[in-house]
Amino acid sequence: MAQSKTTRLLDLIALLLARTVPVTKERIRTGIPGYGELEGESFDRVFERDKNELRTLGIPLKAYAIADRAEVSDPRAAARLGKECGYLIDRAEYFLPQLDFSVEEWAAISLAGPAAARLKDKDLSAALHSLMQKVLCQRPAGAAARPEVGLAPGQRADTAAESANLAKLQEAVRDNIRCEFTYYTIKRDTAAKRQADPYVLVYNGGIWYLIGHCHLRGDDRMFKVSRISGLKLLRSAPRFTIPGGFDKKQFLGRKAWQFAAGPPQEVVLEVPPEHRWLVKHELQDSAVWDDKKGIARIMVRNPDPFVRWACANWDRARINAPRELARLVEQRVERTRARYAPAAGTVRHG
Amino acid sequence: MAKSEREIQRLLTLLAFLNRQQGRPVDQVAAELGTSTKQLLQDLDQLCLYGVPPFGPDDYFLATVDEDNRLEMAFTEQFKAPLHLTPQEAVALRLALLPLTGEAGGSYGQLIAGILRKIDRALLPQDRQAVDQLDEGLAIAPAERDTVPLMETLRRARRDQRRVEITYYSGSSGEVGRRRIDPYGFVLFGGSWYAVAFCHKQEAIRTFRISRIKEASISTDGYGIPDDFDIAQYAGGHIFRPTGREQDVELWFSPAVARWILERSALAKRNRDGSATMVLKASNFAWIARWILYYGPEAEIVRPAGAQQELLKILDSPSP
Repeated sequence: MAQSKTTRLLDLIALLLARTVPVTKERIRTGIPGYGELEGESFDRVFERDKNELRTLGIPLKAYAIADRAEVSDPRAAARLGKECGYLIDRAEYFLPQLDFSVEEWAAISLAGPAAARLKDKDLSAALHSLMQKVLCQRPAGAAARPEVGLAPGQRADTAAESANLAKLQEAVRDNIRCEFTYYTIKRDTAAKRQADPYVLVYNGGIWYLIGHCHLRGDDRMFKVSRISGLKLLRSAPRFTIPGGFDKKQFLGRKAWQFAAGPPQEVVLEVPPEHRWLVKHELQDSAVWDDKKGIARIMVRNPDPFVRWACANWDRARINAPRELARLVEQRVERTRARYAPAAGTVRHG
Repeated sequence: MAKSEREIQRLLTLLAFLNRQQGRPVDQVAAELGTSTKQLLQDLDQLCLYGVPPFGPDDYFLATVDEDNRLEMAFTEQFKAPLHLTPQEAVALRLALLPLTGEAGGSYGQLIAGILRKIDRALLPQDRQAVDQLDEGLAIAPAERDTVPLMETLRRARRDQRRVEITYYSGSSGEVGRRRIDPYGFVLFGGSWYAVAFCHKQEAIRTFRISRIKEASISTDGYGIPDDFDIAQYAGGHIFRPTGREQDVELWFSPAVARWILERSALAKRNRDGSATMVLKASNFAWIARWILYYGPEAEIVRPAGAQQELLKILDSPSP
């Protein structure tokens, strides 16, 4: 065959898109130079591959009976029954319908470019790039509004792992497919293989998490997507169902100290007026405020991240109760201060 | 997807794109397509080999570039529109843009959600179902409660080009003050929104974290956004413009916390003893001091002395 496969396929698309009457295989064979001298079985083989390739691209290539124009799902079986078939590309399905974006929407969709850069996965980026090229075909000349928003690429070291896992997990979440993977538990610095039923992918504070039922622990668990490795979708395992009471919203917008690590305890925080708005921003919905007294009540289930927060906000907020938590913060502050005290005898770094 | 499939996909889209681009400069067309001029010219060469049966002289695709570097084409009518979207493309767009509906919240979040709905409607019915099913399995955290109304005010100010007066806590200096700013655009960085605006106090373009704005009110003074301002430049490079007063700040993290730091920042380097070191450039140290305090005695500001003093200033304040 003198011409390249790409040219042959393009010729095939052009031919089947231009005709309104189904084109028989013989017409295709003799009409497209790319099929050259191919005949019989060897032509059949190449033509079958070409049809599959076009369908993979989403091209609605369909077979029809020549006699009554009815769509035929298996043209080879039809041929055995003596029915003559032909091919067409369904024009109603081929073309992208008008999206009718507003000027504002045209400006906003330009974010898909930098968003693709945020998704550091080859397949996801390629799919986004091709979507953008198709969509841009419709952009009217006057719609070049100046974008109002920019997306900065993340500086996290684990974005590539996150994106690659996300590309696979979206399918597992969509079709309820059990997964097998190795999960790195950063707190214990250990990794273990496990199976999980992925219920939902949660995006929180710029990071993707997977919530699912962990078969190793026999309980629902939250996994940071970037800490998953060796991810496999167990397609032959029976599809799981999500228990009726499961509510994906309960995992949204939580602060680190709201995730259960022990029994809940109420922390009372005193915040002077000049710092209150800033602390309110920091605590968001995790605190209930009594503005008259300048007090916030917070239900803490994991004290460690709260102690860290309180240490970083030492000059803005004081823990009134419980006393033990306040003492932990004080001790931490003392030990931190000692690092910078010249006569303290601590080992300095650098 | 095989190489030939990717190539076909690109060429089909190119034909639809070119259909509306008669007489436009080659470089401009390439830039709009997000491809290089070289690739575009190669693709045009490839397309010149192709036509429809019976392959008469008028049945071939023809592209010419005139002396002014402008594109002229014949035979693109058949591909007047691009191929419909595939479910893979719709899923990729969702994963990329859906986080913004939460992160932005308010009217900008709704704008993005509207785009995704229009894309959904353009899918073939069987593909739409797959994308809807994916939505069931995704949950996006909403924007910080207090940020949404501020973002609305700043967006309105930018749209009407009205100066804004803000009370702002500067994370870099650690002080609260009043500023007059002209919002030029917004950047999403590390899960937080920033306004990029001309600051009349500093007489320069500065970046303001929206959750650090206490109050914002729109004034009657107008302003214009300079023609050469491009928000993508701020987003793509450093959203914090160097002031020339930056110093190297060296931070050390003990082996007990190093792995969190190494996961979080591409700037951190692992030391042989399992600890981590990070060197970054900063002109103000207040935000670094607070960040390091999260790690308590497990982290240290190694240099400069000014940054250490900033940390001690917080610890030496009487607890309120």
